[in-house]
Amino acid sequence: MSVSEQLRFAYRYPFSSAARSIVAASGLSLGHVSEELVGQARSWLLRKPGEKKPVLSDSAFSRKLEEEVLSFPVAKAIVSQTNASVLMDGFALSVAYWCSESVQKEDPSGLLDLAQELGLKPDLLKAKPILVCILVPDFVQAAAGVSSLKLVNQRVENGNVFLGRSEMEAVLIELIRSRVRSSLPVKIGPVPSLIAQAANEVVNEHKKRRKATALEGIQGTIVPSLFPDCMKELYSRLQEGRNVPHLGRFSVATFLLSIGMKSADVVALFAKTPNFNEKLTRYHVDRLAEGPKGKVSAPSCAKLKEYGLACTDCRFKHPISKYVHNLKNGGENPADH
Amino acid sequence: MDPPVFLQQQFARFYSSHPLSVESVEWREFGTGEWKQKISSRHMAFGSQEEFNRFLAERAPLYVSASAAYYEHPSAKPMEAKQWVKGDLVYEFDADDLKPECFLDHTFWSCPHCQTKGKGAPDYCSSCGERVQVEEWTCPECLKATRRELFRLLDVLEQELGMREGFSFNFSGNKGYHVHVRSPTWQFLSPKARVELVDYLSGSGLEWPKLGFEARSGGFRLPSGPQSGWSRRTYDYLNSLLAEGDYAKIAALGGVREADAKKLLNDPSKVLVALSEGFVPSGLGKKNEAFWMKLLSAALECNRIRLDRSTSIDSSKLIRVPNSLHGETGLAARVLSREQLKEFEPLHEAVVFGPDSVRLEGVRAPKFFLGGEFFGPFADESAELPLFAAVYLLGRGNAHGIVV
Ligand SMILES: [Zn+2]
Ligand SMILES: [Zn+2]
Repeated sequence: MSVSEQLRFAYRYPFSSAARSIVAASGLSLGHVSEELVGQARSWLLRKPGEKKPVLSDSAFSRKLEEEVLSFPVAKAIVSQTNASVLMDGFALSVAYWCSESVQKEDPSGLLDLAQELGLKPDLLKAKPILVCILVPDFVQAAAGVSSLKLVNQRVENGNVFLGRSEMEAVLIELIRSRVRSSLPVKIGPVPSLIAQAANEVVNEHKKRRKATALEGIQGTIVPSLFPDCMKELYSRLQEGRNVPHLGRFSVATFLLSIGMKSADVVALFAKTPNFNEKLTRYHVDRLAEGPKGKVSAPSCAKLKEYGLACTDCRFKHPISKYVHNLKNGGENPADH
Repeated sequence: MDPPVFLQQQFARFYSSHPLSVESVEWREFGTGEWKQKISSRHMAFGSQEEFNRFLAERAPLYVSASAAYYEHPSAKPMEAKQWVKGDLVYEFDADDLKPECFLDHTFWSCPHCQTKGKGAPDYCSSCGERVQVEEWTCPECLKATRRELFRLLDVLEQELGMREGFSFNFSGNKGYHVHVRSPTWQFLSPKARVELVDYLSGSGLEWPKLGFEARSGGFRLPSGPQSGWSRRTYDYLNSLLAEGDYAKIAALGGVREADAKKLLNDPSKVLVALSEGFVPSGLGKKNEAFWMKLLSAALECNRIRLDRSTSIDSSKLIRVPNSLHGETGLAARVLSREQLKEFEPLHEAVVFGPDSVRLEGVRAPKFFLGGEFFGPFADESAELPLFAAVYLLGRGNAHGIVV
């Protein structure tokens, strides 16, 4: 491999020995990483599933490639520092996902290079639809636990498993995942503050996302009869055109927006209130829906209590969790179970 | 004299004159068992064969087992502290997993509640509905069936999975056989990979469409040409079933009327050709899909290997030490070469104790075969028996005591 080929390979497969030797040659030291590199490393950890690789222009090429390669061990240091195995699992999975794009583009000999990098020695058969064969023990060691790659559903004969192109890709991607996962956590000596700080940010960001995904399933499901009592009360007052104090309007609007009601519908809900000013209401609601930091979140039960709006003890910390619970259980109280 | 005391005296005598040899003894964890409890203590380790044999002669445990795994620190606790290095693959076959025809003939149940007795192994009493106690016996026939299953395993291991070295076989000392595979190619497999092997052998998780078999109302599609592993065995099963042309059997397996089976196969040679070419046109209309799916299930049932799953997938499992004595029978878990295995008669050749006569009290047993002779039946009576048969009945709990 030429130097630039090696760099490209390392960019595609940042866990590879090619990547490691580029890192070693660069003299990278965790104690002296730049903020820029840490930022790039954070993006490894915050990539959402399905996010595509950036397309690099030729001019920015080798510098960018190298940065990407160098940021990988920094990302590993950061995720190790979080001490959260679920984040390490997720990181390994997203690296595998990231690499899968490249794996799919490899020609057969590229697949063999990658296989070799991952400690696998398949024989190339190039007979359609079978691309390679692998020894049974190597196959099960690599693919065990992936339900689409169960040995019992493969072509097995005389100590070999015969795989088509897409099965071979799946084996390699799983090997990437397990290789990255088993390399974590990395032991680092004294933790540089930039790394520790990044680890904190990553943990917080994932907490936020967890909340968001809890809501994902219910987005747009508006069932007023299953609202928690506090929100039900505010909602029906608005519908009946009775006055609702400012904090009440704020609370119910953020709640409705969080569960996926369109801003126009929220505005319409306020239409019957005394002194309704459409323009002003739309302005406020839009600000709540798309503030500079994203959607403004609905107040928690503790806040509602402060506002004097909370319903009697409902055992939940947040009106949205109560609503999600109601949706899943048809409104039964957890105490009934 | 109490049965356990007597048994231990006999076992101590045996072990002091028959030292065992355990492969890589210093890397393995050991466990021992006492009366009615196959493993009562574990986490033991021995630095050498001599140390292990001294222990056996002094303590004469009724059961002794060793880990399939090799550990850095075999006696450390908890399990993680042992530090797994590698592990033999182990496959176990027991007559009671296979339930061959003879098995129910020599399995008896009795109800502790209402004293009703019967043959077979129901879960609940037929007269009062309480849980029953089951007593299993073995005969040369079911042990032969168990051995046949072991040879089926070997065929698949060798011809399909390519496992070709490191096999060691032994009788379990009671109802079956063990296979240990000590080959560096396989010893380092992860627990998950071992599950994959067991699933392959037992056909669990098998999905027909992934292997190219598809039953539709319009016809039955199957992979054509030379096939591998499960698909070849499945094809062979279907091919020989149809070639045999037993309409009643085919109809029963396929869940259709005999007339339907005849209609489908009215020209058997045509069907066989179609089968080999990979597509059998529908002869049964709507019933076609269900018919072929049932035949596929029959093929799976016939071709799956019925091994003891937990033995093969539990990485911390302790398995009877080859050549040691089984506390329930007094039989030795004889190590056998492949040639010896073919002809082995466990109820004869695994007997280690002599013919000296012993008087037992409270003997209850059906007629049974051991050491080349038949004994019994005994109905709660005292009896004069050769030592090997006395040990067998005492270990099983079919006699109360020994008259010294
Ligand atoms: Zn009963
Ligand atoms: Zn039998």
